[in-house]
Amino acid sequence: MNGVVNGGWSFVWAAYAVSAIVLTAYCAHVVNSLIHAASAKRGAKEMDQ
Amino acid sequence: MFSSGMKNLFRFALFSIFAGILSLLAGTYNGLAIAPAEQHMGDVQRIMYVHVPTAWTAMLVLTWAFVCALLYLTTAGSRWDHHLEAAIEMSVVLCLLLCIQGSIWAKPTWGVWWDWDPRLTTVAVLLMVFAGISALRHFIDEPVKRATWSAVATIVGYIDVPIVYFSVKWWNSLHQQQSGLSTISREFLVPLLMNFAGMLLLIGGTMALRARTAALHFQEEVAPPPLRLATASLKGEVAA
Repeated sequence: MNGVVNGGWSFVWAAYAVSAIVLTAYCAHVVNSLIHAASAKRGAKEMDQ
Repeated sequence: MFSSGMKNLFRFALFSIFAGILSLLAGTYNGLAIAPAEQHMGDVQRIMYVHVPTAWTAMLVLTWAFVCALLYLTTAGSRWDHHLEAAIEMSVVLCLLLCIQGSIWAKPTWGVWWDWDPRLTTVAVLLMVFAGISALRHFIDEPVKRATWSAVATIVGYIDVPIVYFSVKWWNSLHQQQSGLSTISREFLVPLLMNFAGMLLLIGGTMALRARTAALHFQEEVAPPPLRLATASLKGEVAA
């Protein structure tokens, strides 16, 4: 025990990987939801016409 | 697929997301490959380049949610509710990320994955509160009631934000106190600011798209399908 943390790259990779996965999944979900909502609106508009 | 206004928003948001990803990639490369290891924490300190930008962005998004809630209650403009919906959801994602990243950093430095330390506990409370507000929105069908209740709940929940910020100063905490720009060396500051800029662009673009989705759902709610079906059926009868 010398008060210095040795190694730990696995923790660094884990933190970056989790962040990338969570943010990518959420962004993809948002884009997908918008495309579906826009398609639904267009469908409703066509039905009204 | 999209109208021209929506195409512009979509392009702007995608540009913001793309620029954010580029900045995050450059900042991450800088933080992992170029910046030196910290004297005491060694390479584990590199988690700071993703954890601190996430925390700063979370605080800004939470503050934006608070502003949208106030604006909705004062103006009753539905667009503020759409932005509020996007900000609440993003707050949950960012607070969840903060807890996970903090836990991963805590294990090699504190020896435990989790501690009921004031900073960690107040962030966990923030996560629970905003996850609760997000759930509340799904249980209320009436748009005005849903917007009003979630705006009030957001304002009440926001009380925890300054407590999170000052928790490391007010109480004896394992979590380190905030560093200022003058106390961080330049080698550490460059990747930190690059990742913060990237995170802001990515989150800003995503929230713009999420607010637009909320607006489309709202339009669908205020013009319910049965009315359209009735109109379509009437048109059919007239044509026949």
